[in-house]
Amino acid sequence: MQIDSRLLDEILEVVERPARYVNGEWNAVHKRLDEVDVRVLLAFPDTYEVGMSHLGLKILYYILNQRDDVACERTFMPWVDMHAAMRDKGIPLYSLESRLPAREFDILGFSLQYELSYTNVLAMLDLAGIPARSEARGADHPLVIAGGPCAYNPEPVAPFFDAILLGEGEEAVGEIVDEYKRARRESLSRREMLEVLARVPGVYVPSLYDVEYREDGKIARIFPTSPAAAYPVQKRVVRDLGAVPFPDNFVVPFAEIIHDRIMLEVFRGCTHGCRFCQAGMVYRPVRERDLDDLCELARRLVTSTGYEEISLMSLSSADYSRIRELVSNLLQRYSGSGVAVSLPSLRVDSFSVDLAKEVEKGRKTGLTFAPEAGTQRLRDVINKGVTRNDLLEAVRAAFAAGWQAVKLYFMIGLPTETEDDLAGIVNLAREVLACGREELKRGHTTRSPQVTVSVSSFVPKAHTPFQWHPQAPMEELVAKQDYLKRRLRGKGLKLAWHDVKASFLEAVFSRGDRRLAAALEEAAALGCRFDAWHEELRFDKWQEAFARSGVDPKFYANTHWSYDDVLPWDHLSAGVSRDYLVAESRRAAEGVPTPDCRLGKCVKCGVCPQLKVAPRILARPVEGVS
Amino acid sequence: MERNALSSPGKPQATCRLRLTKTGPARFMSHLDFIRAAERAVRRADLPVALTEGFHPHPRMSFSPALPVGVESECELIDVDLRESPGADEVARRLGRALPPGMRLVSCMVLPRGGPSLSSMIRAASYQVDFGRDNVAARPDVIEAAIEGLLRANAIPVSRTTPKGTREFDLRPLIYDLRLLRGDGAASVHMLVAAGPRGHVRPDDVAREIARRAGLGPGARPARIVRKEFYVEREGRFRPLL
Ligand code: SF4
Repeated sequence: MQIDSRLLDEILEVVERPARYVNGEWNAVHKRLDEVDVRVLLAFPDTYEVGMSHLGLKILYYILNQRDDVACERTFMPWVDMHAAMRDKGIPLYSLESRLPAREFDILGFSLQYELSYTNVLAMLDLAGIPARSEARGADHPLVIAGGPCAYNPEPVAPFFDAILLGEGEEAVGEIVDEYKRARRESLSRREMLEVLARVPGVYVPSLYDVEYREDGKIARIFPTSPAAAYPVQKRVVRDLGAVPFPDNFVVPFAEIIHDRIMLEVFRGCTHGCRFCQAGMVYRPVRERDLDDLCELARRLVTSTGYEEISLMSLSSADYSRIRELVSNLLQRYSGSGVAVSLPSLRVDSFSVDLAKEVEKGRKTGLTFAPEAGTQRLRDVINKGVTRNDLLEAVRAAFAAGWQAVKLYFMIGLPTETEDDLAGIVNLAREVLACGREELKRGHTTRSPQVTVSVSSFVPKAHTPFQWHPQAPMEELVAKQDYLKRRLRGKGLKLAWHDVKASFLEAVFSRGDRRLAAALEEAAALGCRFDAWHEELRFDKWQEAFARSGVDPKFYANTHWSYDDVLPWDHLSAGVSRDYLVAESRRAAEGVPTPDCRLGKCVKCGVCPQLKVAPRILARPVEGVS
Repeated sequence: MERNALSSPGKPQATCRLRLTKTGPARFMSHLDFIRAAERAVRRADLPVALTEGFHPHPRMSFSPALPVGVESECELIDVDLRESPGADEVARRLGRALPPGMRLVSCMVLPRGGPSLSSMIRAASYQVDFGRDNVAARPDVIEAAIEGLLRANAIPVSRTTPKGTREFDLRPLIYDLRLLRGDGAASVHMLVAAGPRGHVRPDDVAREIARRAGLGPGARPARIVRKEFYVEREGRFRPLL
């Protein structure tokens, strides 16, 4: 049964940005829901504009809708005004395409991109009329599953999901649908169905594991309670990206979204090995797409979407070993036809600036670099292979090429950080500014350079060498921000910083365990949602929620854990071995860098032998992968 | 490598004047969204569009005045400059397949080069405002009385809030015609108001003023507003542009 469309249309007349709640965008897929076997609803726990900018959602939407037996639709978290109006009028969470209530779908699949979207998951389930806890759901409720980077430690939300996919979804979604169909055909009970799903590689069924805790609050052990449950659950990885579908059409929204352009994924994975970076650990190994495939995909996407920009997406696009050819190929083909090419992530070197120069031409708005730490010592600790010279060379090239604004990303609160490192941030920023003045003067312009320093706070993440490290207490982070605020002022300098409260919550949940589920439920009941949106975060409510549920958030965010401790995610594997993470953590303490295996030599992180994959770098082989 | 056939810069040889609707889900697009959507549709349609000069060329297209978000239209005019003219029928055929729901091609004509631009021609626009059957207070006789009062008024001060501040202006001289449409019982109003250099009237401003005078309450909104037509002025009279 469709929702009451007339009632919905009335609301749409009064809410902000109504275009995000209507169906019929270009390339949206409309199937007859009574003609398919399985109805899947992809749910993104943030606004339409954020969710529709996410490549993973586009890929899964495309792959699922390619199947004749599946209809896949989309839903997003309604913004605050819409959420209130829907509750007020009794309109449940619905799918954009068919305006069907979420609870009438067979499978509801959430995308978990960041911890601060967890309360939105609960708000969406509540709006859908679906019980939050897996154990409270029965045969007449959809199967509620999840995937995305948070799946690498989903423990705080584990009780809410029937199953969670670790790793890449291109191949696994189909298997999940097949097993779901089989379970239904054989009229299996809910529990039996979950056991069937648990046998799909990469699928984690939280209810098939138990956790025991010690007196001191740490975890004693995590163990499977069913023979169907793997230990550990291994992430899924696609061996050859060219062999799985990539969408050749994207939904083109009615109203502007955040990344309103063609996103062309040039490769997956990154092996720079920054020790704080979860993406750099869990998406291994590097797999580059073929040059010809990329050009052909670009052609098809331009034709099918009409978009005016192709963005070359990856964790660090300039790393693509045939990036020069790719860029010149695309420019040659499109520069005369009003379709631009862009590189969203730049490495700190002049090569990247050259590339940016090639693609950006006249539109020089600003370039962003991420040295991450202020001194060479700390950059060695975090394995950010960037020197002061690299940075100065890069910004010099940028200013010389006509850029006037440069943004520098740094992290504060990194392990071993001292005041020297903060002073280093200030010094680097000033050096960059001075360099800008020099170059702009040389270029005979009257414009003056602008340097924006953006500081975020270190958040320890699961499956990284820094997973045992605490986050610095909030007061300390605030003091560090103040230190920078006092010193990074004056003409040409600007400082931007992140709210430490948000970073604290992120740390709590990124290292959290199942006991936090209760705190999430309390927070949601107190009205917390859109925690990632600065103006919506209600930290006082969060404190109340922690107090009510009897969990101490500092235990998760601010405690040092030892190598012997059982970690909340010990039953889940991203392929990178524990030994490697320990070794990396030790090398960090000694300030010893570790090279990138994409340069040709395996550094034994364990992913490739563990998952029987290999890095795929078009230009060169990687040696020593056992 | 073979040059993309989509389009490339060059001197325009022809201008194509499109008339589109903006209805259904498309009514929620802002003017900027609508421009982007039209540009993308033209690209999907693979029309030989002329491009602007500069580092970042984009299709040479010009648009009739903006429509408030939520207001529908049967008359969105777009002039598209083409490097060569495949003929109106061919343009219509290709574009017809490339437009999203709610943006329907009503007509398409190829104009000789060098004619006057949309913005230099448009002087007025007409709208139809439906107050809807559900709004029991909006009886045709009540609305008619409100219209008469409004037309008799010497001045109709309206304030408009923009990011730059609140501005007061007089609506009355910009309203050229206002009448109740006789029909099936629900109150509908036809209005002809200024658009272009002399001022641009927002139809929802007028509708709100009618609702206020009819005593429909402060939050009352018409069920539907539709732009019907654009007008030029010739020999002291308004005539449909198309
Ligand atoms: S196993 Fe070796 S080659 Fe594979 S990702 Fe790890 S370091 Fe690189």
